[in-house]
Amino acid sequence: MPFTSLRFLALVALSIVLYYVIPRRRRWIVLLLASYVFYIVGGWRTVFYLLFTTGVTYGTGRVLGILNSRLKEIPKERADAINRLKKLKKCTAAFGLVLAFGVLFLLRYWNFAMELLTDSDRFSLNLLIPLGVSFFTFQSVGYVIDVYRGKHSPERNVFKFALFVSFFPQIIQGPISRYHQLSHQLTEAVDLDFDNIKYGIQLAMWGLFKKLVIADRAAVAVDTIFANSGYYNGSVIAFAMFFYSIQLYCDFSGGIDITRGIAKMFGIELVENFRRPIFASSLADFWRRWHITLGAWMKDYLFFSMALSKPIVRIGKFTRSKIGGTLGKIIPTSICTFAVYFVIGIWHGANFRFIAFGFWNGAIITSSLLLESAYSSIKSRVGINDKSGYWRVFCVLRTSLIVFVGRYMTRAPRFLTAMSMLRRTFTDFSPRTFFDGTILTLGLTRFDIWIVLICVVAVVVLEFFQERGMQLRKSLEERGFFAQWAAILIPMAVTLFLGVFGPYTTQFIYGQF
Amino acid sequence: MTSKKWLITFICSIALLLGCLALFNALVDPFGVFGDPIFDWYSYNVTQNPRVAKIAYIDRNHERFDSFIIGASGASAFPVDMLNEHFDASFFNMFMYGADMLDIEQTVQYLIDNFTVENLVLSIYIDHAIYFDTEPCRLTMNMHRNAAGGSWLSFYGRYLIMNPQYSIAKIRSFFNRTYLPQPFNVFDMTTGSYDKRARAAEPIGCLEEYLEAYPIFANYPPGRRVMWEMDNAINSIKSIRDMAEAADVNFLVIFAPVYHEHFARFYESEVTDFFTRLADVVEFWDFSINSVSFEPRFFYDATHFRTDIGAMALSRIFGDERVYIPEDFGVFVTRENVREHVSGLFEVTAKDPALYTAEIPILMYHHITDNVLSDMDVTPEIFYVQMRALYENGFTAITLRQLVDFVDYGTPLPERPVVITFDDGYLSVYQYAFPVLRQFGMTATSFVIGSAVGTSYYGDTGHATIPKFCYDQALRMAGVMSIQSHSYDMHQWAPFEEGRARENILMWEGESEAEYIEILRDDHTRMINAVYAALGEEVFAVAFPLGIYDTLSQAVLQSMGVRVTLGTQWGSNTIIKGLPQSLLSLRRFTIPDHMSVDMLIELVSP
Repeated sequence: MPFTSLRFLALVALSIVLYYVIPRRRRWIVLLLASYVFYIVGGWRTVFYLLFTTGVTYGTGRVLGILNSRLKEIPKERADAINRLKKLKKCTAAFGLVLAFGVLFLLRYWNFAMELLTDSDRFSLNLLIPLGVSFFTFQSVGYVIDVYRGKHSPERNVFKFALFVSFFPQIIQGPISRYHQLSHQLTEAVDLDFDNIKYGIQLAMWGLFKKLVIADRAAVAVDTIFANSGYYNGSVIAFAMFFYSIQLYCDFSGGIDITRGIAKMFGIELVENFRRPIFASSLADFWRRWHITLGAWMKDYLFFSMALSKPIVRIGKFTRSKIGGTLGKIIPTSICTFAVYFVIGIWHGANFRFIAFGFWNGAIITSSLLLESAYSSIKSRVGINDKSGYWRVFCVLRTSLIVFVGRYMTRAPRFLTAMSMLRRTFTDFSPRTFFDGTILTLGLTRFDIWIVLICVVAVVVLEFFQERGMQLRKSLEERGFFAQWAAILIPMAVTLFLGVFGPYTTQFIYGQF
Repeated sequence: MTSKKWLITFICSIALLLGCLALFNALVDPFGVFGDPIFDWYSYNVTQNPRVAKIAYIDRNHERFDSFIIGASGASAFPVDMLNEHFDASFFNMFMYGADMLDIEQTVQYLIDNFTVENLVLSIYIDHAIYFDTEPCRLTMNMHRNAAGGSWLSFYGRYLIMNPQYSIAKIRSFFNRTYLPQPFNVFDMTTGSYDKRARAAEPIGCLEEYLEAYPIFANYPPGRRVMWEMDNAINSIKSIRDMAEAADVNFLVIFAPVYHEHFARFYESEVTDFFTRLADVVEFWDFSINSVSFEPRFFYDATHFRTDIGAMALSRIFGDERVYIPEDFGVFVTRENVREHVSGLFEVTAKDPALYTAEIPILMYHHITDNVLSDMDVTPEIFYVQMRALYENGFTAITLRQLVDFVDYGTPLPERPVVITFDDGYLSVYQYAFPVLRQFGMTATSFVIGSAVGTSYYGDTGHATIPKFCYDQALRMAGVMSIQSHSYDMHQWAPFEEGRARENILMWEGESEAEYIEILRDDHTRMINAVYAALGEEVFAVAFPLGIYDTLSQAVLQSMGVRVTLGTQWGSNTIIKGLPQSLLSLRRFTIPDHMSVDMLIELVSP
């Protein structure tokens, strides 16, 4: 059931009406039912995986909760008993994580690993991949780790926990929420607030606009070129990557806006997943703005766990004593940073291109960390002012180029194809191709290309004002009735006629993760 | 604006937009479900979805028809005029492309329940046992609610709140419509059949060229076909039979032909079962597999056969002995003979093409003169030598009428046939060629320019031209020389024209299609009238001036009764019995003065 389908809109509308009609204490049941209806309609054959992950993480959380309470009860003097319990806790958490991640591994990485190990597909499994499996696994695993760390108590009500794992607007493509942020919002319903409905609709419409009008259009040219990438020269490949970057951003951020908009209509505030990544000044900054919740998850549950682990602590001691200085301090952090981005790469899929993507990001961010002091001294020697607008523009363009290169690895069918396409972009680039009609053979009309470009400019301008701290929505609310009406009608008409009724519709890219 | 007011405005805006959309779609009505109030263009509507638009069309025009032929797109090839003539009825072709038996059954039920139906012809084909109850698209492939039932709201709502691109496309197409059908309007609404004027104008002859143009036959895709839906298909046919019987409707079932490789994809046991069960339900004419199925030129693709084959099938059914019909084409299958019939279906083989085709060389001459200036001129002596050589080598000069009779009736042609033609109608043909032809007992065809007959000057310009023979002289050549058209006045000579010269029959740039068609029709009408008035001869052949033509000119001339057209492309021709299109755009050998007799004989020898 795609977010852009009439059935989904009907489900949302019906859920909202029911949600506000029934007593407050029971409203979360509507959300749970809607979530499972959504998931079952989308692919009932895979609902087992969702139930399994929910069951495992719920059970693990409950056991960890009991162990946490016991730990509190044991006097500090009984170190043996405390250590035994801590060990048991660790084993319990590890068991739960192995089961939860095991399912994810089996579904997404087993075939790749077996092909790699046996060089054949003899051991390959032909399993249906559940929708949003990475998202709900990471979200529920985060919950287990938080309970393990004693950050919060476990959820007692299995149905409420099931809602936390399966909340329908976010299950397909995130954001990956934390239990303490989301759970109480899901179960402690608020009264009907027209502000929530209005902002929710506005956010969802903005997401629909980005998805249907821009991303789905751009996808046509992208798919055409990637289906036969060997046929095109470097200019067309660069065009494809440019359009793919547009598609990916508008598709993913559009999907998240729809998700957050729908949640808002239920009075639920989901965490931000994008913060205008096009204005990122470095790759590290980009990852703080792009898919924020994945980055935050990795930081909290992988980076810190690694950084505090015994081997890394030992390495830190070693580098500080042998190398010393800033570099000595940075090396352990850099190792963890590299590992995090490497895992982010693999999170996207079981393929060498995603491993390369993780390597690319990890290598650049790590080298930036290691060379930071050298950069600072070069900048001061050359006389570059960090605060100047020109430097900022340069940094944004530099980051865009690095991200652009990384995109080759996420979109090309194979790693070697990505490398070949990248090479051709620089060695076989002919600007004439943009004007000789080749672009019009890629499945898009001149009108479509203009639509994409104009709408992208509109998105960039709007985000630029947001980046500058301007509150466009607030300033619009101060205008007269007709201006506000136009602000409803025009985007609605554009989305309806150029998007909903446009000639192109595709699935959300991040739905596959 | 408060948030509550904003929400109300938002909902009203949605309602406003959807209302405008619904109004727009209802007025333009690209599927014809709302009566097409502005365009009244059902040829377009039916092309978008024949299931919906044909029902809507019949709802409005049912008084014009009392009989129906129905089936998948193959049914379109059975000519409605032949059915009308035989049944003395007014048929409408209710065929729907890709129709499965459920579509057909529902349509028949709707027709019988709501209108007067005298005759019903059901065209089934072998794939009806594969598909049943398919509806890949709810806008373009679904059945009309009136026939299939279901919710009014869902049906009409779908066509109101549909993508406006459908309506915009209709408006755009309306301003781009042409005389010949285009992909957006392929139906002839007077009959309900496909409008095949453009396809009927394509020249067909040489098999190699045909296979190149229609590669499906050269490389037919592999894969077995399973009759998953045989039970449903048989039950549907039974249900249609019962409906027809109950309503006292004259019922005829035709099993349509398919290309042999398509037929071979089915399992013999299943085909046997299907035919046996079908014969148990109803008696039917079977054209599914026979020698026709082995000739790709009779087909557009594996399951779509040319209208000429449909006509041939009806001639077989109606017992028309005059026309050409292969002996094994069409068997009336009953419960009694079905076992014997199906036992031979997988043994059918191709016929030797020599039995139904003829290789015809056509010689092209212009001026017979001692003063040879170009390859178009031949001296009287050389012409004599060439004709004598043909005669002595056993060639028989035949007329174009003989070719038409060969195609239409299968009338045999003499051994070593050759067609001799003269373009432009020069007096020298009467002076020199006619006596030679008469001497050797040969016949020929002269393509005259109507406006130039009997003249020695170019129109009223006073410019001298090569003299042309007059109608009196043409009369004297009767029996030897057939007079046909080289256009009445569409072979003008630019240097002698004050304004723009019409040197060939193509449309001028900047000229509207309607103007052009009127000019071409007018020109050909004048030619027909002039020749008939002077000689009493029917004009059925046109040699294109300068050999230039296009699909439009070909189709316009065909619509005026032209059966044979000739170009100037060098080559011989394959004429096929039962396929009138093999008489179009015939190739000719230009015979220059310097061509040796040996070369000529080699050229025209099969």
